[in-house]
Amino acid sequence: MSKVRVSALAKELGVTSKDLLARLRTLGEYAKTASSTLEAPAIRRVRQSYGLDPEYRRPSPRPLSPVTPAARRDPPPTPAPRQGGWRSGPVPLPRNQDLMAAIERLGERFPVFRDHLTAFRALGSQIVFAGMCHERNFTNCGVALVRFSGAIEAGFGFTRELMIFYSQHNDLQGRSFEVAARELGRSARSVTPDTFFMWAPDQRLEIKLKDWSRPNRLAIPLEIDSEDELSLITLLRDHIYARDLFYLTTPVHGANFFGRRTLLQSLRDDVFNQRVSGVFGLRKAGKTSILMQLKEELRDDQVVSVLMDLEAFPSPPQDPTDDILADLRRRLVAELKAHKLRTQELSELDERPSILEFKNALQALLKRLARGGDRVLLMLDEIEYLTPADRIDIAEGDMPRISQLLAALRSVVQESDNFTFVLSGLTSAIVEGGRLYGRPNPLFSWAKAIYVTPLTREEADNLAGTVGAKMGIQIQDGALEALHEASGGHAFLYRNLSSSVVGHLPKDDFQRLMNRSAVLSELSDWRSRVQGNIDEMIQHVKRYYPTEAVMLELLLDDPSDFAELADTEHVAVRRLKDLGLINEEGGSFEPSVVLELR
Amino acid sequence: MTTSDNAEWLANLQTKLATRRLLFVQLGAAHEPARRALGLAGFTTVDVDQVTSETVDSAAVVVIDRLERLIAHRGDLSMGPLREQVFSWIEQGKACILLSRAPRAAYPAVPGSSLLDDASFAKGPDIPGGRVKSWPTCAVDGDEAETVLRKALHELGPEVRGALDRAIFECLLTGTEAIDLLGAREVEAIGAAGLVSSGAHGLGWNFPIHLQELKGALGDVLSDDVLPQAQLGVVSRGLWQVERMLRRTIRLRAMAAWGTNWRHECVSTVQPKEVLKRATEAAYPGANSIKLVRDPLEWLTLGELLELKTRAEIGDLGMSQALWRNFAADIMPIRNRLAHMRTLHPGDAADVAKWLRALEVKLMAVDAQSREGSKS
Repeated sequence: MSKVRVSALAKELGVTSKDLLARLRTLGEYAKTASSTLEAPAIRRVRQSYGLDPEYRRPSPRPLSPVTPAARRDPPPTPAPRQGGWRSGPVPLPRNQDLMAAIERLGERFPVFRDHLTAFRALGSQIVFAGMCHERNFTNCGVALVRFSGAIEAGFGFTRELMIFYSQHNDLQGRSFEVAARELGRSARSVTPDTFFMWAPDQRLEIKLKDWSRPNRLAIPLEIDSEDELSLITLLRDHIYARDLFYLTTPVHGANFFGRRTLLQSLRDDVFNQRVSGVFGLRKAGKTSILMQLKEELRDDQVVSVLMDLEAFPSPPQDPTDDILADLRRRLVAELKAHKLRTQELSELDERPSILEFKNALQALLKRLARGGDRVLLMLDEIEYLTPADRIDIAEGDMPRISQLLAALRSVVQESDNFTFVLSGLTSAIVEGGRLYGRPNPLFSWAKAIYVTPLTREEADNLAGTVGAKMGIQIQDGALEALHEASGGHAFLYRNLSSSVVGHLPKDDFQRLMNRSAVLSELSDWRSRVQGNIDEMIQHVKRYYPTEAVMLELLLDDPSDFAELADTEHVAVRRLKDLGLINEEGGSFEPSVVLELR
Repeated sequence: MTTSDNAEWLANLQTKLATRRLLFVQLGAAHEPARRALGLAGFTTVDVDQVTSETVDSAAVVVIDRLERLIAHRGDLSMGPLREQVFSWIEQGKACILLSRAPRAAYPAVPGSSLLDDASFAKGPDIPGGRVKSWPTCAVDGDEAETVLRKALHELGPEVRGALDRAIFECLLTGTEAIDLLGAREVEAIGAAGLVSSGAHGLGWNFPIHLQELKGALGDVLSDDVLPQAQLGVVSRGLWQVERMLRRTIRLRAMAAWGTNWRHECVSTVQPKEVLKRATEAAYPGANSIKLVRDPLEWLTLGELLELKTRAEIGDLGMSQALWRNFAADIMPIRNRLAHMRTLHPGDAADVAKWLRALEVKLMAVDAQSREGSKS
């Protein structure tokens, strides 16, 4: 391989000389100006860093011929050598006559589609579906699905086809984006659920899509330079690599949910065996995500699930039961209607029923639903809002209607064959105290407490590997180990740390690699950023698990005192282990990583 | 601080918002120009009191302004319903900014998941030089430095001011040691307020000469704190219960051990005369013997009560020495703060709640034993 000027190599790679000089500096190679020449090893390294075969040389450029219907039926044009890396694992040319005709029709409606087709084919990718939008008022919009070459799928983490939405509007509106997003869910094929291409003859397409896109609904403007064969790759890189899918604000389910298979199976069994469970764990351990995932997984099993977040209701010492009952009735009716199921008994109730009225109506309705094999699952999240220990004495405090409500729900479980409920929150006090608000606790020794423990290494690896791949990141074993070690497998901390590391990975590199040193170099800053979150978690342990908090401080102050008390305080010790706050090895205890982050 | 600085800050804020979707932005007295810039950024602004009634259908970014009103629970909204509303907006694809003059540390704890904890944190533009005179409100708007500093300290809230009081006045620290003594959320608070800023060697104070300027203003603002803190009720109620439970347990043990002589035995470690003096001065003008005081334990300090555990007849009351040591280390300073009507610290309510519930469990068993012992 002979010497090449920086400017020539930049042209070959489709980047500016300035970008290439910057890249060379990051690779530890020195070149002063665009006219400096590079030796063969440096050229190989640069090519590798752009995801290209290090030995390729660019032949003299030749323009791509315009695509004619005849050409489209021919085998794909031989790609230019520099594209070889991205067209590895090419998708076979479609042979189905109906598909070919549909492609033809879409090309007639949207001539730009032909350019896109050519660009895809040049990179070993094929259109596998073409048609029109089904939504009313948008039937003049086109829809196509592209299946990428193996190399592109691997490089950008695609495992399914990608939708392209074509609109004829030169002033694209937000509702077109919403229609496109809905079209994603409508496809009978396996389509990438969170990313799609969009095209419209709108000068401000890119700005608009940037504004409308969100992390779980990324719309990429399909604007490619027909003169630049790598333009499509650059487009994907600029959008896919810019995302941070590790960072999540709201609870997750579906494709974003990872692990917890044993716990979910156990909850599922509880639903069908009519057992009542409580899912408890530290703040941000993923409890709500588990409930949402359970709801999703039960959708096809004739289980109508209602997830209620109790944080929106008054909390003792204010009595929340009337508001909870009213909302519960309203949500059950809405959910049953959505499933096209009977609601009469609940619908006929007063909007604010008494506990007894609600119980009787629900029992009557459940009997009717049982005939069709339908079940009802109630999930009460943020259960600590019913037992705010620092505001009221939950054992003897004056709030008996909460006890009565839970007793009514228990009685419905016992007297029907198709109803149960799950509680979730920070504190297990609601199932573990003998008395609740001056009455025998209806859930004591009856409901089962399940603790959300940290992610296992295997679960965490799966999460990181899958999410990383969607951003084109390959995560090395050493990095996976460091991520798990540093976060203790706590779901929020694990994602948060991964997100911090991703924030410092280069976005213009086609071989994005997260290695151990990338994780380690991020740790110090990350620790200081999450200290506040950890402090908040510990404050909650103090509020809801007092003996455990006392023991925890003892362990941090003087492990020998802790060891001395571990036998007599075995319940607290077990719960600390369940919460992932301490680890036991060979009979000795040590604080978990979460505590070391304080 | 120039318009372009604010533009750059806004651009960074928008970038962060694009991935984080939910930001808590602490923007107080030091950053009035940035607050104005945010108001002109084209986002939809909703007052926190109007969150459930305003329509924001077409908004891509919703700024919830005057969040600090939730600290005093003014208006109909509380943090729980607000979280539900904000999350529903995020599910719809909107991004939200919680705009607050007060820091996260100033908000009362909620029973469950916290919206403030869910949010990513952001502060105003960096201030070159850091000194109060160069704070944007002073440098751009020309406001007087002393007034702005007092306003900034006021916005921090009593808990963070209490933490500053401990570090700067009680511990007499002035350098990075003072910062190190603060909790993570307290450091976040004073950083956003402009009191400290990051330099080549980490965080440093923005006040020269032993923090004189800060000390003067902090002293004045602390002495102006006359309204009760949000956690005051919880802390005082908890301490009252803790001490009453402790007395009850000791009384039962003492009666079981010493019979009718329990009063005298209980105060023997202190000095019966001293206890009698306290009782007669405040409530028992005619008592001339400790036997006439209904419950002499009510006239012992918490430290003196705990001292009674050294008597074999009273014993450890079901808790190990190590746990009692930690109890004293946690509770005595809080009790002391309350006794002297000083500002409570951010973690005080959680510490009191922890020991209240721990003691409830432990002492209940001891009380039952003592009652059995008395009967037999």
